[in-house]
Amino acid sequence: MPRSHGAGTRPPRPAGGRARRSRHRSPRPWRSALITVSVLLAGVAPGARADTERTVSAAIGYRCGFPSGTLPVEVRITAALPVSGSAGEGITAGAAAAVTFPEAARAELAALKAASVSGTARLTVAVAQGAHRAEAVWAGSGTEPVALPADAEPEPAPGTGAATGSGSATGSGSGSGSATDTAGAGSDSGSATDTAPGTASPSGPGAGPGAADPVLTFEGPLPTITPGGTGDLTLTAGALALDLALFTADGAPAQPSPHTLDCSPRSGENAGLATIAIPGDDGSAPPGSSPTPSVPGRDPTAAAPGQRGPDGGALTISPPAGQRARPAPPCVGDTENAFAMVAYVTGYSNVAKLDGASEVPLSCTQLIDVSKKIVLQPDGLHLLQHATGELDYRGRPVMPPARATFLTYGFMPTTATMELTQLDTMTIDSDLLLAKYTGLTVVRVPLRLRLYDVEINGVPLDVGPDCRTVGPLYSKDPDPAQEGERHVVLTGELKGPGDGYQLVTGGVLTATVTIPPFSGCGVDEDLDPLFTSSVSGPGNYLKQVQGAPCASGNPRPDPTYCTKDHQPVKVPEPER
Amino acid sequence: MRNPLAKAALTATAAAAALALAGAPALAAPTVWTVGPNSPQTFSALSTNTVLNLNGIPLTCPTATAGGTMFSATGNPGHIANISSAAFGSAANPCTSPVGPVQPIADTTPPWQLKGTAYNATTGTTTGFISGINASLTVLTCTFDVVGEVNATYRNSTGVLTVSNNATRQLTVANASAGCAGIAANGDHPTFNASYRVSTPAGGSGRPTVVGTP
Repeated sequence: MPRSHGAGTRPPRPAGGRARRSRHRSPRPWRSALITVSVLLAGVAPGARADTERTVSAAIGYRCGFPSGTLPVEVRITAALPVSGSAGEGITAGAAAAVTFPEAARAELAALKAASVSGTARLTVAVAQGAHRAEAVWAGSGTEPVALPADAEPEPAPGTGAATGSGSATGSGSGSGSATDTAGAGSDSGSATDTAPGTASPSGPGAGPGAADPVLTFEGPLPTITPGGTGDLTLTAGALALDLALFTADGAPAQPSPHTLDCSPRSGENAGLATIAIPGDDGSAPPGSSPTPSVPGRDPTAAAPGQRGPDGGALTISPPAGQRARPAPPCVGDTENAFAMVAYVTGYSNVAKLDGASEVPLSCTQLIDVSKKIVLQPDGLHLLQHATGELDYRGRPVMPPARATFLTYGFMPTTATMELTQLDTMTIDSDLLLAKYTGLTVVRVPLRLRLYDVEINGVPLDVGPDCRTVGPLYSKDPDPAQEGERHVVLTGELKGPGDGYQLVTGGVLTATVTIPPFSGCGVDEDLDPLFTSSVSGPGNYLKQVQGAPCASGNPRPDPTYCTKDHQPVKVPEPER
Repeated sequence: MRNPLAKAALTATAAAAALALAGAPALAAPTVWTVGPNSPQTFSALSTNTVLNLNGIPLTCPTATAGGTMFSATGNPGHIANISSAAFGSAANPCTSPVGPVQPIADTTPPWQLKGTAYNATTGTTTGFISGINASLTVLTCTFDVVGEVNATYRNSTGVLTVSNNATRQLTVANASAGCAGIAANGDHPTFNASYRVSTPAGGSGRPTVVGTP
């Protein structure tokens, strides 16, 4: 499957042959003043049948944060998706995006002394079915570095031609103006190919990438999407993060590397990717079902309230097998304190009023195993364990900012960055009955929520730097003495040997959280009521998964759980 | 011994032991130990119920293995086997505890020694002990060594070697790291219990025999 014009005749790499990275590839001159980065996710469904699967493609304008400010980039997203699905059955797919940087953006990278670039990409896909919302985060890996031309040159860069995923038929037109097709082994060339209208021209006059534009390829499967009921399932592109590995002319990593570009769809862009019909038991398609991919001028998420509500449960998003939804951030444990441990945590949070689930980014928690004691109680020996914890995101007591898209008041597509800041020490108290290996762990953590970088219906809304809850998020505390609406209470149950949560092994923790009213929102107008009415309230479900900790303070840490530089080996996957 | 109470107690214990031996002719101390079917012969052993209990905290290994050489011997105690390899847990079935994952590493250089002290001809059972035990354990924040001895019983009819502790043959914690507070302290005596099924030659299906004669 061609990745770019002019590369269409290039044979695909052998099945299973992942393109080899070469840091020493000499940058090739380009004819175009553009870089086209193709993020190939599509066509990775070998043997796709024309009558059940099609390749969809849509071009979406994004804005990405570069060192000197945001710049527009054009993104083509492609996905091999089934025409229809069934309630309760997971939908797996590949998908694709082609990101075209304007010259100004390329100059930003050149200013970092980058002569070539590779990296990874993460695309947040908003999934909706009726009133149910969820987010799927796709992670793709780059193949070969792409040269960054020092200046515009007429020569193509054929060496950066197409690469395919292992055993897959992969392909995408690169950038605007190219037709997306399916070709290549295992994929019916006659399968439906849909190119969304309006994809032919990137921003900027005459900016369309030429046939020889080099392409940087990223690949990876989408998380599995399982509809809980019937009704149209819509996929909408959201935030895109590019972790660019930059290399200097001599192939050495440029600094800083990776360089992360955070990108969001531009205001007014149709970010719809596809609609997948989930018919009822009688096979009939519910109203609004459409086998078409993205619908021009119509945000499928925005249209959702008008659709018939799904007949069934919530959406479920699960990461692809054997793959993390995102790379693990740095999480180096303390080696000075003998009782220091460090663990990753991730999960999902539901905002009740928004009927949406968003992934809690993988975060790092520094732990201190404060005390353990064995106590004889009527039912046997109990282990009482007390520990404390601090969130650690780049040295700050916060969870990594999470970009979330949801519907305010059920109809306004709202995208915001959520930041949870830890206000005081986290405590972890366990009471385990040794004879049965059962017990309960209670985690108390005071967290305050801040929102920023808000866009409503694609229009930026300046909420100011201090739009946050008036106090900590809180839960009902099982200990009346500790009640006081001061902290979130997560509980983890150990049901038997190896079954359930323990601080020392990890597992699932859950909480029901009340979000207090907002304060400080808005610059020119008081936006507190908007967020208070649409977000604040009780009954928000939080499900966290903690990985097994690394005892970083142990002079001889267990290599099963600690990397050599005292980071956790175990990276948990979020569960719903 | 400066402590008269302790001296008295020791004397009494020795007297009781002498009486017990006198009253149990079937357990007359053997001095000739015959290992079969061959001597020397290699052996391997597998346990699925190894538990080290430390101050009430069980450190459990779903699987444990040992191996070495058995040989006929004379004397009492009779040195009838060297245990030159021992492992606890595996990647698929790691050792666990309520206070965290357990990573034991056995130090079998020099080899641990299995020694016979008594033999019951009626049941074909050898009793004795394993000496020279030395292992390092990491339990999350805590790393410590256990050194010492355990009691051992081997029954010819089953091929099962059972090990345990008492006040005489015991293990002792040493080199406990600072992160062991609440788990282990130097001088603690953990109990060790396990049943190993023994095969000879190593990895084979034969069942070794041990016979002690006066």
